[in-house]
Amino acid sequence: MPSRRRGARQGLVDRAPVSHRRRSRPADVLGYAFSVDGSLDPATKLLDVGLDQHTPLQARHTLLAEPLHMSVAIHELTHFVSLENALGHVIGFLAMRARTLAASIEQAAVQGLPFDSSWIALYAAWQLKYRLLLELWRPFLEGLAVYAQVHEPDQEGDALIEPVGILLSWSLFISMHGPDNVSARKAWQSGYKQFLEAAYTAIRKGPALRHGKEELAVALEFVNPAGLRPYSFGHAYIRALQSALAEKCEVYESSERFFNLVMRILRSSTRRLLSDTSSWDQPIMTDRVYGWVDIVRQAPASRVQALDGQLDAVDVLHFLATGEAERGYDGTGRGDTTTVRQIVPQFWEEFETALSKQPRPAKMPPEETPTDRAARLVAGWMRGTMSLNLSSNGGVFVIGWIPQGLAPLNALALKVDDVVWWLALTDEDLAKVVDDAVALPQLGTAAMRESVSAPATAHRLLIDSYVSYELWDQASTSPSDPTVMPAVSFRLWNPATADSMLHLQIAGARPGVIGPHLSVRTSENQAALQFTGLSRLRHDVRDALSSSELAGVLRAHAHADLAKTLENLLEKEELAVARVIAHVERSILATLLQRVPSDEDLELLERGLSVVPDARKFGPLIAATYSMFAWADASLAAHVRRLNASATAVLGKPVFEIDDRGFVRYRGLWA
Amino acid sequence: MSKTPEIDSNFLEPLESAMLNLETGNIPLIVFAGGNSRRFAAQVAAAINATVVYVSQKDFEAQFRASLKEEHALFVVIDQTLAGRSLDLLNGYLAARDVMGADNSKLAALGIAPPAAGHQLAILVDKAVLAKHAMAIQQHLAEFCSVTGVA
Repeated sequence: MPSRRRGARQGLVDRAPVSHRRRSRPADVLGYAFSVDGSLDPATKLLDVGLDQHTPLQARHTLLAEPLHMSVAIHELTHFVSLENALGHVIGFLAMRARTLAASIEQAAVQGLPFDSSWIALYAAWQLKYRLLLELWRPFLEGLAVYAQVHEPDQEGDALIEPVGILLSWSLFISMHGPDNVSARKAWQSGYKQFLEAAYTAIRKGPALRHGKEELAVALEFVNPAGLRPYSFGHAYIRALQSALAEKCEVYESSERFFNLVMRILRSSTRRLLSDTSSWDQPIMTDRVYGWVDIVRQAPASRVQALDGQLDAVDVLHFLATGEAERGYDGTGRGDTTTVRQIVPQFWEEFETALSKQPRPAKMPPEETPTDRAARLVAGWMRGTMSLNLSSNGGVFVIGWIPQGLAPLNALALKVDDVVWWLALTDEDLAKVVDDAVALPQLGTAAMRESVSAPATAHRLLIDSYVSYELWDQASTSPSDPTVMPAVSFRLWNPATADSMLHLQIAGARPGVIGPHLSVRTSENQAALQFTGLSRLRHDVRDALSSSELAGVLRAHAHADLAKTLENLLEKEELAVARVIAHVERSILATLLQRVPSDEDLELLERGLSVVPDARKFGPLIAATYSMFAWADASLAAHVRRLNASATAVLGKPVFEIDDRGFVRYRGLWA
Repeated sequence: MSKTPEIDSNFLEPLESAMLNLETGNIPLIVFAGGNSRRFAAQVAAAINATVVYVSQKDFEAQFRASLKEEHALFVVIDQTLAGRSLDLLNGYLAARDVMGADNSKLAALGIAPPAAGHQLAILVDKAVLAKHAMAIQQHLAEFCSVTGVA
């Protein structure tokens, strides 16, 4: 076990049992094991793309300079956007309750408080439900994230895939600072082009980026290592979905248009997909979740073509299957908790009952019922997890300040790498991050319109940056318009007094006074919701003990019988999860083959393209032609044709497409 | 609210037959000429809350063993040729539930206790997969199970 974890556990005895602690990456994150590690915890949507100890500008520079890093960020951000829907909300709800139950059990065990086996059974039930849902969707989610990394971008088109759109928004906001509006706009424009080009470069290079010892495309096609199975089959499934759509409507030949349609399906169809089911470990459920391709194949072309002009909220899969245009989500965000309750009614009821047994908080409005309270808390959790941490713990230095420089507020100059960011703040907020403001250098008001040449002081602060989806409630006028907008926010604090944090947003320029700058978020609800209580809860939920770790804690605190109970339930959980994985793989296999898989076909799950003799030698060509055509000289073309003959003997079809001029493209096992 | 999934009309008759066999302690062996074993398993298992496992699953033995402790229905889908351990496990179960006289010794030899009293097993196989088995195995299955064919 890593020493970091041992240290945390030791500390557990001495301090609050579930305060912030960081443990090794949990097994159930949606991750990607590049050499640059990345992960997103689907429960909390907390992101890790290796941008810790980066200022926002350093993070941006890293993404610009390193296609591998950009690629990992696109993969993980795809997970983030893929979960902004009923699926993500239910995953988050189940995990939040399961892990807070785990924390309560741990706390009771460590502190010697009374508890019994009913707690263990309750925790195990929530955890099982969460795991089943996650594993049911894992190949889809990983496949889509891989697709985002390796598709052929349509750089001339007017659409962006959503994760690139978010990264671009973040990049633009943090580049927008400058002493005046003109220079800020200039920085904005050049930054836009530069960042977008870097994103396209990363995507074009995606198939050839290293994954361990091989190119990503090669690792996927040969399912090597075996842990890539959900990525490999999920990606094959996503490509099959695109083929089925593009066959009926050429709009979806555009990777971006296709990707954004998938996002729309996730928004509009997951409520129906997940409702009315007895159990998520049944094969009927996997057939439903992975039945998209069959629905598209069976739909009339006119329905597929009609999608482009529809309202976003129309349930796409239901429309394709029936021709009926029904609303799949309510378009205001207010129905999200209702949807969760509809999908997991028994779990919601348990949550509500548990809340009703807790002491009534003093701030709780007297008219609020337990049902209202549950809805309010879950809505708060959902909204809190709509904030994506991109860079963290970046060091910035105070340069000086201008008392009342942005009257009635003070102006604080921060050196962020090689530029100056100005922050407007009250005396009270200034005191939260600066011990003795009077001792800071005082700058002239002209400094806000010029490049500041004053040296940075030794006063060091830390900054995180976030992209948030902020609710944009315009239900009264146009309920089907997008209900969330990307925004960037920051967290700034003095490492010596870390409890006092400032939550910042970008404020517009004041003509003749200052360009775009930072201001302190004053909306108590928003700030509190995004960053204080919920931020702590998010970290606690992410870092909660796993079931086996919890059993270890129980055993270490004289609860061997309860530890055994938990381990027995964990064994059942693992068996149920294994069944879900088996059902999903067979469901995807049947879709890809368009027939009932034979026992020989099952070998494809294990070995991928290795079933074709000599295919290994074609790794570099696979990577080079994974998403686009490349020209092969006569000698290489002859080799490709021989491999195709070999593949046809084994699979019944070639794996490369090659035309008379020698242009080659990898088709894959399933095309 | 759970909802009973729709069941294909051609599955209704074999379903009725299978349910009758399960209720009377027999082991239905349902053979699908059209390769629909997985579809049947998906629809029917959801309706009666049965567990579905595939012989090709790497953890087939663990799934099978765990199931025997519970009073519920297990659908085993034979999607690859029975051999070695998977064959032993099914043989052991068939012997333990032999209506002519239960014999738990084969399961005991595998270190497995007799199945729970309320445990039920149905075996589903596509005709093409069944045909790949040695005739002795096919006959053995037919002897110990109640065979139903689905066109």
